[in-house]
Amino acid sequence: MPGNDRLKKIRNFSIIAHIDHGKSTLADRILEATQTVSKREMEEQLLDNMDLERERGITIKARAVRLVYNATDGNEYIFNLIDTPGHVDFNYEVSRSLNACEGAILIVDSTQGVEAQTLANAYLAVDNDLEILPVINKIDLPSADVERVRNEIEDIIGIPAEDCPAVSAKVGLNIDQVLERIVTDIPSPDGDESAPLKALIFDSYYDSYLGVVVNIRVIDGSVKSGDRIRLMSNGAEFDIVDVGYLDPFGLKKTDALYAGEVGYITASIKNVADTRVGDTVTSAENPASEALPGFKPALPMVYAGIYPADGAKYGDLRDSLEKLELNDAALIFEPETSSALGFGFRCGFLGLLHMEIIEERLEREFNLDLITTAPSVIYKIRKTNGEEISIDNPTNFPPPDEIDIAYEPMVNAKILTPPDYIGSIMELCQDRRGIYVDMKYLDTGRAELHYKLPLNEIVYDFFDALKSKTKGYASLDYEISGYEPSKLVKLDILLNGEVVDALSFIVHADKAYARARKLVEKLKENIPRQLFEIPVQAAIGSKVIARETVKAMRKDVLAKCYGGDITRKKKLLEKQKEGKRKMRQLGSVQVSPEAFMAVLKLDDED
Amino acid sequence: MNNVKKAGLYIHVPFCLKKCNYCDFYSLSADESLRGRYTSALISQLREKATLYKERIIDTVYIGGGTPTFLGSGNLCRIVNEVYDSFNVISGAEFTVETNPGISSENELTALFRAGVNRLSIGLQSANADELELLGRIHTLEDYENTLKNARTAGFVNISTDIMFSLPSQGKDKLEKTLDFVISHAPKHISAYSLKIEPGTPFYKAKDTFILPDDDTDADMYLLICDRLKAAGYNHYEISNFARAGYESRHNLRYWESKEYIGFGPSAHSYIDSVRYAYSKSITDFLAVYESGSLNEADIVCERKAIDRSESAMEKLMLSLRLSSGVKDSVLEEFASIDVIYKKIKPLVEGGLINILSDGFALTDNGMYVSNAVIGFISEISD
Repeated sequence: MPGNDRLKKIRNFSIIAHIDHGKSTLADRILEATQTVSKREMEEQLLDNMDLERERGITIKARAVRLVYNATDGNEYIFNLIDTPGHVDFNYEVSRSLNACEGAILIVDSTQGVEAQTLANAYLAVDNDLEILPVINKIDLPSADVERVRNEIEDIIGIPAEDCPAVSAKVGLNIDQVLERIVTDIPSPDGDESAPLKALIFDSYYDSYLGVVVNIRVIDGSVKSGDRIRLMSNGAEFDIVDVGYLDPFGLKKTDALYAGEVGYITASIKNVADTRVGDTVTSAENPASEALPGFKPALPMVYAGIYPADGAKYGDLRDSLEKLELNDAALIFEPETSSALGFGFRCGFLGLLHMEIIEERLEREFNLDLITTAPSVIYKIRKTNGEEISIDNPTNFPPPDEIDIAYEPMVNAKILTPPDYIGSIMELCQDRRGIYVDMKYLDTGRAELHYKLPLNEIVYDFFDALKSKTKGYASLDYEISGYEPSKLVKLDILLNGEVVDALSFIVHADKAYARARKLVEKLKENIPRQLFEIPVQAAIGSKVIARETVKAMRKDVLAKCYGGDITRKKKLLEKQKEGKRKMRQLGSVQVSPEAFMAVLKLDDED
Repeated sequence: MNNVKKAGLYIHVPFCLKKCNYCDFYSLSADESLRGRYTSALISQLREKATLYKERIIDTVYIGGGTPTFLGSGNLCRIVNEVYDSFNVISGAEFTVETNPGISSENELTALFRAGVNRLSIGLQSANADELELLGRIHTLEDYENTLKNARTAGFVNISTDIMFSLPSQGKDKLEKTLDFVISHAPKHISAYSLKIEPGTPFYKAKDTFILPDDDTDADMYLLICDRLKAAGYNHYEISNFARAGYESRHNLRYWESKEYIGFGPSAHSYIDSVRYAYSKSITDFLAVYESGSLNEADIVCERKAIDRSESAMEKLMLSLRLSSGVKDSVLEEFASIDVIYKKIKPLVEGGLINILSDGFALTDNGMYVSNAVIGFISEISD
């Protein structure tokens, strides 16, 4: 088929939405309706492969699937549906996925309306010059208000919505309208088949048989098996083994991929870190003169120590992290040792959700019990001797007299909320050292607040506090805005006079006292009474700012050992011993992993 | 005499006139006929076992329950006579029977004493009428006083009394009243147990309606008991037991000193020839073995376990630390070298939990009440 005609029959698009607005369900319905997959063969939410994704209803890794659609104009169209991650932690991945498309279906929940990530994703799509096709979903629900949501889309996002499809992905209503509008509204790709190869990597994952499978959108040129390719960010070269595309039943080999097409390549690549999302693939023999714009390596924003609850599982933890790393170029880790927790790893994550996902995958897929230290952001410090250092672990925070200026990362936060909660959100932001930027009413039912907030306040417990203060109605989106000077101190926790390194954290000086009080109280509650009295102290440097005491245990006895029945007593002692095996010995103090987690879990209500 | 092996006998009588609300021992109600049949079955078992342990010298016998005296002195005397007839009971052996206030008349107690019972353990539990009612006890303080008087008239000198503390809503004043009452009646031996609410008892179902003392209050009550009883001339010789000099329970000491004993009746435990075992908690099965012969003894044995050297050391540690005589260095050596152990327990000595003795150490009153944790601490010490 001549290039131009071929291109006219292709539609590359994504589905974007706020979390829970029904992205995966609509994707499922599109798959069904194009009869690419029958209902019987279909597993719910087919695009989301991981258990975790299915449970949380979010997409962690992008997927691209090729569908064939027979339109009412009598022509057969190729749809490439590129799924995108749905969370602020993965914004960069979203933007790269969108870059591979010409259009995006923007789903808005007819019961919820436009939310923070609806906006953020819509803006991302606009930034990438995508045609946006709004779709109003969940119209089967009694609380659906299609007209209000139409107005919101037009007023808030500023795109026409008067005739946009209103559907119920759940019950399969009006899906045909969506398919037709994909054909009519979303532009076909263009591109020069004869130019040197230029393809965008929008996703990659490790397969134990194929090595790294790289999902690409070919912008110019073509690629076929046997070609030698080069990755433009790092110059690495590989020989293509296979090219093909994904349909809902799996990978399908094909002869070649041409400009405008979406598919995969394999080239015996061992490490996903070599195939970074956003990088450009070109031909080694006939390279493109310049790479596609917009590539940036994923940078971890949040760090935490991850330790096995059972010290003997260190090797298992390492193996598991290595396996996850194969598939997750954004995860970084290196060994670290804590005197309190033993051997573990300092891990870097894109954000809190990314961290939670990794934790859950480690616990679920690899059956590990973990202790995770409080998440920390990266601080920058100019020392009095002029040296500049980055701190991702509180342990490395220099003593106060060596610090000239400390800097912390700030974010621009956008909070969408019904107006009722503006007061309490402002209070919350104030309390979290936020600086008010501005506020606008998007319509009568919705306001958008802008605040500048320290990232460390967001990783502390901002999400939970926001949710609880607004009954879950407010939504948050943020982006890093840079570093600013800040009065930072390191808070150490001492048990029985000894510093517990795993509990140290960096905090703004004004917050140190309150945080210290809370933590020593929590420790007092959670450390079981032992044979000795245990002083619990919080200190900045050598200055103790909060203190509690875990009183010595008074009663732990089987008073009646009678009638010669001593098996009962033995069983009790064995159980006690079993419980102790898991205890962490901190000097002379024993603390259970559960107590550690209770203390590290930052869920306090104020 | 050194080569002659000794043993104690424990005989369980699983009957009560009425079961108490807190009690999780194996105990049932029983009519006259069942009591008679059970007595006969026990006698068969005693006779059968006696042939196996002919060479043993029996220096303690303990008939517990339940309420053994609920059998009636006729049945009970048949059992006592059988013990003396079948076993080699040493002269001066301690022979205890448990009873509750108001169960036995002076005549019955006299009959028991004449048959060779020389120690009586009376369950009083509390000197407060409201507490007795809450516990489901069916006696009054006068019943206790009468039983005590009758027992003394019958000839009993070695009398023990059980009391309980940490009862729901119990304040210090009520505990003091119980202590005053008991001390004024001068039994030779006093056992004091804190209430433990066990699954399967009426108390367990009602536990959410109780205001129970917290661990600190409970420990305070315990120390109060220790102090008051010591001031009244009782030795605190085991966690929950107090006695005038020479009146320690020799039978119970067998348990705590890891010495041998043979159990009779359902739910009774035995430790003999380095094996521990128990009988199942079923009177039906017991009668099937010793009345009809439709089951064998092996069918009712449960929890059978040979005790090897390391387990024996662990048992000795946990049992001897119940006693004011404490644990011997020879036992401690099984866990780690003596120097290491004494170095490691130094903070416990400084914390007032452990008393160093010439050939070992013992727990203080405070230490006894956290003995599980101390035992755990010591058993984990290694070189």
